[in-house]
Amino acid sequence: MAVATYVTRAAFMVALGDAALPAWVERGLRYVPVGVLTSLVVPQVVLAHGAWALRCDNPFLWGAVVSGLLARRGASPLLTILAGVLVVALVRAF
Amino acid sequence: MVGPGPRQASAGLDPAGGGRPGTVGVALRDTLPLAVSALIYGAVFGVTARDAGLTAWETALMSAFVFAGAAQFAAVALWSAGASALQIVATTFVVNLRYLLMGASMARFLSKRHGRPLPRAALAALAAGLSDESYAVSARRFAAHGPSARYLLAANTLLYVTWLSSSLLGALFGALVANPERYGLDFAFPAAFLAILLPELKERPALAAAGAAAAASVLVALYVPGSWYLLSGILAAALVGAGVERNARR
Repeated sequence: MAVATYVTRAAFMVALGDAALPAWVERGLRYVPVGVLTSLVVPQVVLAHGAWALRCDNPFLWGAVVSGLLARRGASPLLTILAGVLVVALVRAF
Repeated sequence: MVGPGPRQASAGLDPAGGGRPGTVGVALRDTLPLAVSALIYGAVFGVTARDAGLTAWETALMSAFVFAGAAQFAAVALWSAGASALQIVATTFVVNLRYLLMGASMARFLSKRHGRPLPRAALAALAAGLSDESYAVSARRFAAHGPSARYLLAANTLLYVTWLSSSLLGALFGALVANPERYGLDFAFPAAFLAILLPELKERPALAAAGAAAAASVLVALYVPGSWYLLSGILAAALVGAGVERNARR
């Protein structure tokens, strides 16, 4: 497991160190951060147990709306996280 | 994670490269919200591993050597279902395929320093601690202020220490963190990632990339078992982002 994990982390990072890459690869790599974050968050918010969960009783949906609005308005990361967590806890409680 | 990496890296630092004194402090401050989330996630992992029959010692060893939350959860689930070692290793590899692209992207950031390129040994050491969270804070920082190996190392180290200690504590004193969902704590990571992502979505290529990643990751998550959805979302973002950026320039 440790080897399988390290190989994925290091393979391109070390091999590509300062190699010259085609322009289209360079362009594509610029959007990897956006891709990582979006793919980590969106399925968790709109799906639950492998099915669509765009419902009022989906706590993550409400949390994402509140955290998303705050982040969009330039709130600090800490406030964004605390508000989202609080909303999720409240929706679960009621 | 220790080794020649950081010292060699700092030798070639450029004053304009984001590697100024104080970089470590900034990195720790930026990473702190994610470390708090990792603390909870790690503790939950410790409890899960203990319930699956791993000893606290085994759990800590796994966290120390693997240091990959999603892969570790998958491994423990497979292990308690009686899967073979080969199956566990293969699943680990698939769950971690996204690191190939994150590593490539990180290498591009770190090679764009104005001074000397980072030595391969330093890249190899930094790669050992690369995680979703340290990648996310570092990519944001490097895009705005220039790359710094020291920043990435500090973010990696804080998250590593947090993950290792919290999974051990979870394995030892599981009952204390029995029900983090009740307090909404399982939303800490999604919220932290939103806090990093949304301020970055300003220009059309980035918006298009996010839309493509959302569509691809959700569709693949719906119809393909396992964690291929992460790799699919990242590839979709890279392809669409690059395409829109090229068209915008014409």
